[in-house]
Amino acid sequence: MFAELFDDHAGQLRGYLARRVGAHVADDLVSETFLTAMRVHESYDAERGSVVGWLYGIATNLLRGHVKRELRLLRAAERYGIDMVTAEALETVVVARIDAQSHLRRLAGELARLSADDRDLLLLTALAGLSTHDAAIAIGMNPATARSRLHRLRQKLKGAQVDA
Amino acid sequence: MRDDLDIEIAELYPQRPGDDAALAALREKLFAPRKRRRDWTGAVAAAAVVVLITGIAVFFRLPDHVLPLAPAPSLTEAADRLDAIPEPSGPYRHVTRRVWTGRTVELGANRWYTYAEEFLVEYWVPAAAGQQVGFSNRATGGVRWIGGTEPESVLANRPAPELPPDLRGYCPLTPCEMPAVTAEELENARNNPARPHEVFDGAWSRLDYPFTTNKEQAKVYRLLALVPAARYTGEWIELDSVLDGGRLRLKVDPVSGRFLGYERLVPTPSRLPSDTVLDSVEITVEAADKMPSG
Repeated sequence: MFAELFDDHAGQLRGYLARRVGAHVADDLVSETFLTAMRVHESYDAERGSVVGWLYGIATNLLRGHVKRELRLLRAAERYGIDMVTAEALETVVVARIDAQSHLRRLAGELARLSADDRDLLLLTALAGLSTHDAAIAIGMNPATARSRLHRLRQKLKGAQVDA
Repeated sequence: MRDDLDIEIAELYPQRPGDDAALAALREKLFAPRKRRRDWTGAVAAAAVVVLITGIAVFFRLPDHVLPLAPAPSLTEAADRLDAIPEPSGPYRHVTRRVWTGRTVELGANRWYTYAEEFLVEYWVPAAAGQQVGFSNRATGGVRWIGGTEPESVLANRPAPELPPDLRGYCPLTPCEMPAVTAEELENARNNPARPHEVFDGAWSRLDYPFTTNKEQAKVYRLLALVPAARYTGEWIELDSVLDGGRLRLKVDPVSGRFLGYERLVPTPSRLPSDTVLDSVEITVEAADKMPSG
């Protein structure tokens, strides 16, 4: 059963985690997510939501331990107006030239200032492609609350896009 | 339906190349049937380890006043001592983090001041899986002057406290574990001394994560012990490298080996004296019978 779950979701989960915290950390996180899932499978309650929400919930818990890394990359992205891959590269190599993008600078700043719950909710839906319901299950939030919170969050970020 | 915001988010977080070989290896590791070891020497070695660990555990579970311990002479010794400390027993682990966060206010024309404000963040972590974690965070109102061009009285007009983003969120449901230290990380720490900050960064994140257990912290100490650039002074683990805008040092109880928190000092050069502490975190962990209500 877990091998099937792995075949169905591991690739996509790794892709999502790699976008947030880098490929190397993502590999460890995928491994830990499935090990944890196998250990605590009794905590899965099909009545509460899909297995995808449960699995991403475990991954989100593990990802919280890397919030400092993501925030540091977001701060670099904000400072230089770059994407997260370039921000990660800046940690280890000297980059001769950077093309600053003002919209990335603004968005990175906004994301860095969000609470971890809000950032997870936004990115689980926008990057991982989860439904709002599954994203709510993943972060332990009431789905109705998550829907209204996500709506307000997106409006706020779009407002900042227009103001910029 | 994707809109401009989704497109910008995708641009900020670009796709990384997939790694089918890594996933296949991971699948193999997770699901391949395990081979049974028939080598009797392995069993004897395991028994010897059990005897040794039991001996250490008995030794360290003695009350402190019966047998005072000298400071651990090395990080691996500190790891051994930490390993032997039982986790707080009870339905909840109550983790308290007293956080001082440095903040600089620029007033223009080379006028500025830096101060630290205090926050108290608490977690009640259930021992059982699938349970809700209790969480609270608040500014205590505590403030500490650090330095600047202005008189200290300017603090009366300081901005409202702002909780740092990484203290706002928490792991909502148990289990709340960090990835374990892997064999690859140990290998990397041993063989890539040119990039110690990567190992130190991962170690710091794990130690500072409020849900990491004593046993996991001990593994992190052993990982750090492999990094030649990381120094253990008997109280601090330090690295001559700038992380997160400052020089980090991790605080270890020299006798028990417990991880007590960390300090971030100003980077050099700085407008402030080089040994100035900007941020600090003090961590305590104890058993709790229940979560506070409300």
